Amino acid sequence: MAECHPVGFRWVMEAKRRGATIIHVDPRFTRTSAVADIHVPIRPGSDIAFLGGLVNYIISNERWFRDYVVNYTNAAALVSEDYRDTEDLDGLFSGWDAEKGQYDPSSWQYRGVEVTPAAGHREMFSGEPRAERGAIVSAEQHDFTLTDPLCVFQIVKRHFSRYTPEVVQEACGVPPELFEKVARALCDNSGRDRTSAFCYAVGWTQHSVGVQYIRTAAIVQMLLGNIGRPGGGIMALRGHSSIQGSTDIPTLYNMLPGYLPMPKASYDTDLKKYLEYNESASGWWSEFPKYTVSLLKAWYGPAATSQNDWCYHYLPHISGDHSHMVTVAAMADAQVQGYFVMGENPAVGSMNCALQRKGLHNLKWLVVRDFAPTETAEFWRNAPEIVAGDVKPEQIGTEVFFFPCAAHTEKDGTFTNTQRLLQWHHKAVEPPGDCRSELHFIWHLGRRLKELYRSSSEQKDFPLRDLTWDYRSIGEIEEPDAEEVLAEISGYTLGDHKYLPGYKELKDDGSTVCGCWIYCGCYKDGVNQPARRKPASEQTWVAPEWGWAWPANRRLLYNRASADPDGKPWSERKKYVWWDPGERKWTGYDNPDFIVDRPPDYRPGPGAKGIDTLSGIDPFIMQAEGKAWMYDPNGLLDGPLPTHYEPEESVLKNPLYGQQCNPARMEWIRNDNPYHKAWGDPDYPFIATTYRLTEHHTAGGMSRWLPWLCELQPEMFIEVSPELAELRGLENGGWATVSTIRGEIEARVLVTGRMQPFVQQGRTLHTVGIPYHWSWIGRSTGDAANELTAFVADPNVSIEESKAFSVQVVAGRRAKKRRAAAQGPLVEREVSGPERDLAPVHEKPGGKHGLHAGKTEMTEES
Amino acid sequence: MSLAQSRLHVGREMSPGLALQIGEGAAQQVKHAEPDAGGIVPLWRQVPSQHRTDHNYYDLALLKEPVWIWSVPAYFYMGGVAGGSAMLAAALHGKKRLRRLANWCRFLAFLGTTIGPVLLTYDLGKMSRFLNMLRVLRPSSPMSIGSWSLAGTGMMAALSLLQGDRSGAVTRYGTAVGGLLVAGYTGVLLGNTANPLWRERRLLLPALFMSSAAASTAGVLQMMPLDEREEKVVQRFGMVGKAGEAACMVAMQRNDATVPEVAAAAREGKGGVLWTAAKAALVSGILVELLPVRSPLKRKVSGALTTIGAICLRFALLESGKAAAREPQTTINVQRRRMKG
Amino acid sequence: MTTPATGFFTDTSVCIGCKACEVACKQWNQLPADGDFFSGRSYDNTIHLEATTWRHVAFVERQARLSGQTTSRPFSWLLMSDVCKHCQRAGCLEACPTGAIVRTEFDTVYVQPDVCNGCGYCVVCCPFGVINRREDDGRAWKCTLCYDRQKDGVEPACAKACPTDSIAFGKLDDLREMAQARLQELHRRGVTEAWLYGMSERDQPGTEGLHAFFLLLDRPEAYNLPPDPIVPTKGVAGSWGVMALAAAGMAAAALAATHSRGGDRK
Repeated sequence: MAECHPVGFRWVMEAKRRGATIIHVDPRFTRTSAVADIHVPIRPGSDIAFLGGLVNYIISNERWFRDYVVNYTNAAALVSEDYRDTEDLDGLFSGWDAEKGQYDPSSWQYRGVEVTPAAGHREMFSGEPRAERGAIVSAEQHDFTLTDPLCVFQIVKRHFSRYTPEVVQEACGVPPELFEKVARALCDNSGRDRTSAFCYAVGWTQHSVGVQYIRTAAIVQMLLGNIGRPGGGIMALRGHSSIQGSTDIPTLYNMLPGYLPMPKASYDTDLKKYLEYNESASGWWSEFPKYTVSLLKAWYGPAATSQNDWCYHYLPHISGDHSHMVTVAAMADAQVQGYFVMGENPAVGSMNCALQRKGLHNLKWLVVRDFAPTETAEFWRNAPEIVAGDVKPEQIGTEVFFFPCAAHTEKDGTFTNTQRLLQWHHKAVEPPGDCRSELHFIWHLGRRLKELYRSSSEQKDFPLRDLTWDYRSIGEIEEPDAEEVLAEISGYTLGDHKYLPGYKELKDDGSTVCGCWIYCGCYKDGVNQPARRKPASEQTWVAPEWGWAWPANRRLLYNRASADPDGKPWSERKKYVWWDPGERKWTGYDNPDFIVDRPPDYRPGPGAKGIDTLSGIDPFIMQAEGKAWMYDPNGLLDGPLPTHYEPEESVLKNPLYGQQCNPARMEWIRNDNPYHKAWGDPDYPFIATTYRLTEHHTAGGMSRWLPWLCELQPEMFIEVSPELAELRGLENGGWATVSTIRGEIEARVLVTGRMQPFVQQGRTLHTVGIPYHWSWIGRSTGDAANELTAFVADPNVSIEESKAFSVQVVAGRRAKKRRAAAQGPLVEREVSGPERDLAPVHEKPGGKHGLHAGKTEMTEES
Repeated sequence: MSLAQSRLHVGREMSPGLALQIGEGAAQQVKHAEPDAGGIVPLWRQVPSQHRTDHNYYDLALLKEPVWIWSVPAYFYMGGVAGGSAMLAAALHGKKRLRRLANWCRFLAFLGTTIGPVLLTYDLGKMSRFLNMLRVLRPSSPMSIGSWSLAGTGMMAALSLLQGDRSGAVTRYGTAVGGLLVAGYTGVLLGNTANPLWRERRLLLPALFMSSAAASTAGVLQMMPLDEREEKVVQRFGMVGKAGEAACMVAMQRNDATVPEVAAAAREGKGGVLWTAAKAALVSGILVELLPVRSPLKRKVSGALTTIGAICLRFALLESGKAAAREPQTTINVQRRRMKG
Repeated sequence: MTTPATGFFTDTSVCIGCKACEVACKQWNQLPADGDFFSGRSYDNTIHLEATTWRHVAFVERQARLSGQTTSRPFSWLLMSDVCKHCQRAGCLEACPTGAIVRTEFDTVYVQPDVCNGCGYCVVCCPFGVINRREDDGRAWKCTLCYDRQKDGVEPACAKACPTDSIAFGKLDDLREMAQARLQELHRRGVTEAWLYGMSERDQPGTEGLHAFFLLLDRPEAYNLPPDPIVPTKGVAGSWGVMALAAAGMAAAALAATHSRGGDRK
């Protein structure tokens, strides 16, 4: 965190000053480790084993927070008798459908019911939409003593019982004493009087089981009662300054603003169905139609009426997985015409760079918007495969448009940070030359397109024609007014154009306009709330008047959990939000994240609907049943509980199960994306992990041009332990060549005690640390780490696995710029050897462009 | 297309090849250091975490090396000759039969105090500001005192050269005192720096510079046509200087020996070679002088050897000072030992 | 009206080595980059304080544990942002023959660029190896303790940029109090190796105390700091004394050499 988020880390250091214990779990000894109280080196790709060990420690040592767990989580819920655990099936959960190559989650359900998932966007892959959604979990299906062998708590307990300190050592290379020290520190600092927080950066997500990593941390935090309480939680530290914002108002293909799912072509055929499939009968998602209609009114204005389903049919309907790697694979097969790349540098920062560039080769046109021509804009000119002579520029037909863009100091707008805090930034100077903001680009592009189709009477052009696009423009360069956009996102009433104070005021009758329901109220009273900058000294420690946090300026989500079931604070020390019996309402330091007048003793009667189903002890109001899900009865695509799987390319056999890898992972079986053996590949015997350094910014587009930053880290280098250096004859300051079957790169060597080998299963395992900032353009150049990585991904969110894979490393400059994407696998060989999957998983049906994800009809274009 | 044009085209001031910027940081002149090129800071071949960090920081210099170029030690020599000559000229004042020698001395004093500032100015980072040397008088700074001495002595030497034996007492004594200051202040200047080699020798350097000034003066005069009487004066003056110089050098080596790191810095590298050369030239100069023959050639050889020795000595001091600054352990050990008491 | 003395207290126990201070300093003071050089010395590629690098972060990789820190093997990584010390007795200032180096109203040591002529004497007189002469412009440069910002009542760029407040800027008296409190707190927590470097004359008689002082976790030389720096001008009297004696010797030698028994006065 100190390494990649030094500014956010100031608060960690502040906590340390006040006595907090900082535990850092990382394969490397980083800047964070340097100031941490405990540093735990862990083998890359084994985090679930470590976290699972914590779960087991907490349960078996009775360190869990009973009152919290029983009341606020689904620990007491009973699960279907059909459920079988990975412990029973050697690494598979019940319900694996060998024919479809994916799980059928029906055996994971609560006994007798089906529950809708919150933010139900991801069931698009699981076949038919659920007909009977959102039934209330009835009382007789709980066991509040938590002793029923099929209650969630017992299932979790059994599931993790094998994750002992010894197994943690075997899987992670963490000595038992060190593990126990961490577990003890964590437990000692959790409970009524104390809380602990987890912070992770995107590195945790970049695994083929990435989502389950975070699920495991969530289980730990639920058991310890560390969610919804001050000082607790799980902080996702995002990769850029406003990536949280770009998830809230998404640049993701499968979501609409505010986590509304994108309509699916195959079954969300009209608004009624869309609402029916996504509205929850209970919990906060029962308000779904209000958010949807207000969004459609924001986009299509007067054209959206109740008669035409508020123009629902104007929305794009997705026909399959269009995530990043899926799209690039299609691009490489010449199935995509054009591509917009804004503020991203996939030719460096995305996995298997050469395959990324192969995708770019086969486009008709490409638009790149960045500060300077990045590798993504210059891929056709001097990329490694072009220098090597494998690809000729004259064979590339892609027309590249490069647009210089404005920096954040040259435009108005917001940043949304990891705490969901929106902070306004003001333009300080005009952008130079032709540099323009993204807002300017998109708005003027839209304006011109609208002009082109102004008089069209074709149905297909109506969405463009009817789009509301009337922002005020300012100044000579005609920059659209960003504040006006913010006001539209925040929302207003149509009749009297009053700015809405919050999402509770949204209506489904077309009388309110709101561009993103969770941001509703950020322009309350016509005041730019994110621009508020009241100093800390002039307000409470929660600082509600600094910026604005979604939803409803709430600084801590699910904060009803900061009080006990009776509504009293768990302790004076951790007092945050509580029930005021006199006023008969929830009150506290923060805006209560609960129905403000719902007393703690309220229990819904039979037949309650919508938010009335939430009882007084249901803090997790976005969940249909108001409880935190320790166990996910609807399942993620790879199971209801996290389980340790090895990375796609590992050096070790899975120490726990016969199933080596995540059975539901996404794989691309293509000649330009070859894989190593599942484990113990003699040609690629070392673990590799990629990461960022403080001195540079991601793929380098913002930092490799600046001499002040370049001098701090002037060259591509790799980090190895003295032991690995000796083994491979690597010299500090000298050169090394690192290769996978997909590519080879060269780098300077930094031999350092900050890297260390792991001794596991009787073997010494070495790790090569590879920063990924460099490539061939800019002041500071070097080979790109992602020339080595593969297309392989987590099934739930399609995020790649770049934090753990296998490599070879040799001394000297030997790289000949060979790339599998340009000339096929670097080593021609029979890839036989250990299986990644058990027999039923092995025959996974293949999809288009080499994708093997076991997805059904949704992966086919329809 | 010129860079300026390409900037206009891109909108932001970046060219892929140069990454040059306009606006903030525009004046940046970025050196292209080649890692393998060596230089003062070589690429580190050891493993950082296995380095003896208890002792120093990756063997990097703790102090800055002197930035002075050749003209500074050259000046040290010139200043010595000027100072010695000025003193001798004052002593010779009014001695009729030695008038020619006195005039030689006056001339040398004048020459030294004229060329000296030119040499010093040549080393300045901002030559045009050489007059700033006389902007203030800072008693704590030997260089400030030296600058004023040099300027004053220069004026006196000029007067003295013009007036010859006619010059008054002020000029005479002024030249003498100024000459002594010019001859010796450089020793104080070097000795009172942070440089461990110079600092360890701070009580010997002024004596060394002073005696070497006498020797250098004699060395130059010995190379001139002299009559017997003049030769005698020069020889006597020179022998005292050379003996003093030799004694100081011996004392310095003995003093160095108590601090092994300083001794090593003095012994090794360019400085060590120059130091040895200085010793050899000085000793052979003395030996030649002591030969029981009398000839102008002997005298001139001896003078030349003394001169070479004196010049080598000053370059040796600068080079060894640089070497001592490069080696962090010298500074650290000297201070650590001092702390132990 | 007297302005209180200001300075830096750099607490290395909370430094995360982000180098924001280095960059903020270079940006504010418009200093050029020193060149792209992979040094092989941990993450330190700018190597030392220079005429164009006025803040420098040191990265000390040690094969030893830090008290209070649990690691799997004996190892620690000490990070420290170094800067000009603005000594109470400043070697550079006392050596400067031109009066370019002055003590400001904030009791800091400042090189006036419009006066400095680049004589280079301050370079050898700094016991910390801080100040140096720039090749391209010939003058001596070092940290100004953001004299220009201070004049406008703004804290120096490095302290402003430091995310963890490892660099504290303020009135010297307050900083000393803060440092003492922090030291006691660290000792209470068992970080026994923490100590204050150069905070007062008692701690560092050679410089009579630093206006930019440090909390360190190892011996000073581990961070490339001198263990017992002395301002060069201390003890200059001895040298002048020796010089006076030697001068007397030379005068005597000159008189003796020119003295002739016969007496050849006219």
